[in-house]
Amino acid sequence: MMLECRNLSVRYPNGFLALDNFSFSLAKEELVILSGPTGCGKSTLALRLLNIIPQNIPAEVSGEILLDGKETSGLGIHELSKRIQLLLQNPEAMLFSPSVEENVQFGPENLCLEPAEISRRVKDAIQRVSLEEKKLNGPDELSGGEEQRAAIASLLAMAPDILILDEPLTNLDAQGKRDLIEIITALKNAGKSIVVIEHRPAELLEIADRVVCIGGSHSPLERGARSVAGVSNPSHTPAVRISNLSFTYESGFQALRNINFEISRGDFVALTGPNGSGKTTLALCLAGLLSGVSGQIQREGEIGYVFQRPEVQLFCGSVREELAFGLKNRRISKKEIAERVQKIAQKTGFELLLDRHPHTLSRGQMKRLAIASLLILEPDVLILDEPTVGQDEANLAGLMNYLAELNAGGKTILMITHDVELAGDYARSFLKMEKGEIVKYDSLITV
Amino acid sequence: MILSSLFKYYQADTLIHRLDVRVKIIFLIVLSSACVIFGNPGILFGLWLVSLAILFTARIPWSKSKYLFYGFVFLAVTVGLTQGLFYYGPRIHLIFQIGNFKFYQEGLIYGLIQSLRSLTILTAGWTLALTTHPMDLLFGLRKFKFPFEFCFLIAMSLRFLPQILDHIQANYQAQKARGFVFSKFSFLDKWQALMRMLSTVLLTSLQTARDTALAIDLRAFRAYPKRTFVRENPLRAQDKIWMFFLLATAVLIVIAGIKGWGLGPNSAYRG
Repeated sequence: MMLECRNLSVRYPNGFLALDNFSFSLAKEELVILSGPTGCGKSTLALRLLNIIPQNIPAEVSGEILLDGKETSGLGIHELSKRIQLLLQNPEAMLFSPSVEENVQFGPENLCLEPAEISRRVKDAIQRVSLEEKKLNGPDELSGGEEQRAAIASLLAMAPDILILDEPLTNLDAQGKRDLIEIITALKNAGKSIVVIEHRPAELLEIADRVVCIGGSHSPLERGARSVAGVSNPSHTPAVRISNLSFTYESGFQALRNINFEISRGDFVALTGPNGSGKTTLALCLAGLLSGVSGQIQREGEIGYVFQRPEVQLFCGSVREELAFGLKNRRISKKEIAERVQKIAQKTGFELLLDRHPHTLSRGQMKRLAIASLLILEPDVLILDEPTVGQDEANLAGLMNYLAELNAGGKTILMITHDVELAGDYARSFLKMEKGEIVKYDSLITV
Repeated sequence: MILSSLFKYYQADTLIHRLDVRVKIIFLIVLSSACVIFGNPGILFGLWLVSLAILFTARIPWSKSKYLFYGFVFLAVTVGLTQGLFYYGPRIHLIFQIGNFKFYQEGLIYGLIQSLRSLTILTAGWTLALTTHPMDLLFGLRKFKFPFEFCFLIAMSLRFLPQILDHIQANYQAQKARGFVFSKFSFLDKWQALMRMLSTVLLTSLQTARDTALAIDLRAFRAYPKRTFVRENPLRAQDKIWMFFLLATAVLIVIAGIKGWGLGPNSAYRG
C-alpha cells in the first residue's frame, strides 16, 4: 500500500469528534472516492493525512499514517506536500497569484528548483489541464471549471504521487464536470493515486476503483418529490412575465440579451446553462436587485431570492436572528416572529441549532439556512441559485422534497442548477441559457 | 456598479500599459516628490493635469473611473474647505464669517494646495494600479529590493481586494432581498446594517485567508531560506530612455527645491 492509515481519530478543541477510529488505504494508481454525509469528517481526514491537523490546526489525534510503510507523524507539511497534494474545496483561495502561470510556478520556485526544471514542470502541468491559452489570465478571468483546473495544475507542478481532491465537481457546469473527470482519468492513467472527496459520487463511479464511506453507508438519493408531495396545479396566470429584458454591466459586458418568457403561477422551473451564461444576472433582475435593467418585468406577488454563495448572505449573530431578520424588517410582532422561526426551524432541521453562529455551520447547512431565511418571508415566487451545492444525499433529498412540498402548496419556484438529472426529477418547465440568451424553453404548461 | 471593478487591472494596449513597471513606480515617486516640494498652486495644478493626461492616455473608460474620480474630488473639496476654516498659519484676509467660524483666504489657498497634492498622487497611484498587472507589480517591487514576502503580500492584497468588494455588494443585496432597504430605515438601523455587513465580510475574508494560508503552506512557502525566481526581465531600450528622463526630472525638481523655486505665494503654504 502506498498510503495507509490505521485507527485514526481526531477530536477538535471544542470536543467535537470529527473522525472516530477510521482506517483507510490507498494503493499506487488507485482512485478512491471518499463519500459520506456533511460533517462526517471527510475534509478532516484530508487535513490529517497531510499533518495540517495537528501541526496547523490544533486537535487531539490518535492512530497512525504510513506513507510507503513509514510513519509520517514526524514529517512537516512541506515535506509531505512533495508527495501528497490537496485541492481545497474553495479553488479561489488556492489561486492567490495574479496569473495561472504564476500560481503554477509558485510551488516549484519555493522548492528552489532550477529555472529550467520549473519551466518544464509549469508547462507540463498547464498542458495536462488544457489551460495553455489561459496561462496569463488572472483568476478572475477564469470560469468555475477553469479555476478548478488551474488549481489542479498548481498541485501537479509539485510533482506529488498522491492527489486528494476535496469536492472538485461542486459548482461546475456539465461541460466543466466532463472536462475535469477526463483530467482525473488521465492523471490516474499517468500513475497518480487519487482520493476524491464527494458528497454525491455518481458521476465518478465509472472511473473509481473503490468507494469508501465515512459515517454510515452510502445510499442512493431518494428522489421523486412529486410522489412525496403530489403534483401541484399551476394556474394559467403568469407569476412573472418578462419582455425584451437586456442588461449590460458598467464594465460593458452584456449579460442578458432581449429575454422574453413567462412563468406560470405554481410552476417549478429549472434554469440551466453553462457558467457565465447569465443565469444569476437574470435571477438578480427578476428579484429586483439590479438597477439599469432595460425591458419589462411584471411580477405578480413577492419574489424571494436565495444567493449562490451562502456565506455572504448570512450576517446575523445566530441562526435564530438570521431567520427572524426579514420578519423584523416587516415590523411583525415578536410573538409571531418567535412562532414562525420555530416552525421554519422544525421544517428545515434547525431546531437544535438555533443558537449557533451561522458561520460555524457546514456549507450545506449554511445554504439551507439561507433558503430558510427567505422561506420564512413566504414569498410567492422563490428563486434559488444553485441550492444543491454542497448538500449530501440525505440533505439534498430533504431539501428538494421540501421545495416540492412548497410547490405543491402553490409556490412558484425557479431553480438555477447545473444538475440536469435533479432538474428532470422535480421541474415542470426548463429554461436553458447560453451567452445571455434563452436558447430553449420547454414548458409542460401553456400560459 | 460593480465595486470590485474599480481596482481591477484594466487590460489595454497603450503606451502606459506597455511601460515597464519599474518606470511607472519611479514616475510615481518623482511625481509625489514634486507634489511635496512645490507649493505653488499653479505648478501643482499643472502636475495634476499631467497625472490626468496619463490616466487618459491609458484609455481607462469613464464608466470605470468616474466613481473613484468623484471620490477624489470629494476628498479634495473636503480638504479645501476644512483647511479654509481651521488653518492655523498666518491668517490675514477674511473672506466670510458664519458665527464663530471664519473663512480665510490663506486657509483656502493652503487647502487648495493640499487638495491638488492629494489629487495628483491619488490619480497617479490609481493609474499605476489599473494599468499594471499585479504580477508585474510584484516583479517591480522585488526588483527594487523589497523582500519577497512584502511583494507577495501586496500582490495578494490586489488579488483579494476586488473579491472583498464583491462580498460587500452581495451582502448589501442579500439584506435588500430580505426587506432591508437602506433608504427606508433610520440612521441607527443603517449603522447596524453596516456593522452586519462589515462583520460578515471580515468573517468570509478570514475564512478565505485561512484557506489561502493553507494552500501556501502546501506549496512549500518559506520552507527553505532561499527561493528560485524564474522571471528576470531586463529593461528595454525605450524603458531606459523613460527612466533617464524621469531621473533627470527628479534632479531638476530637487534643484528647484533647494533654490526655492515654485514654493508658492507664501512659503508657509508649503505645509
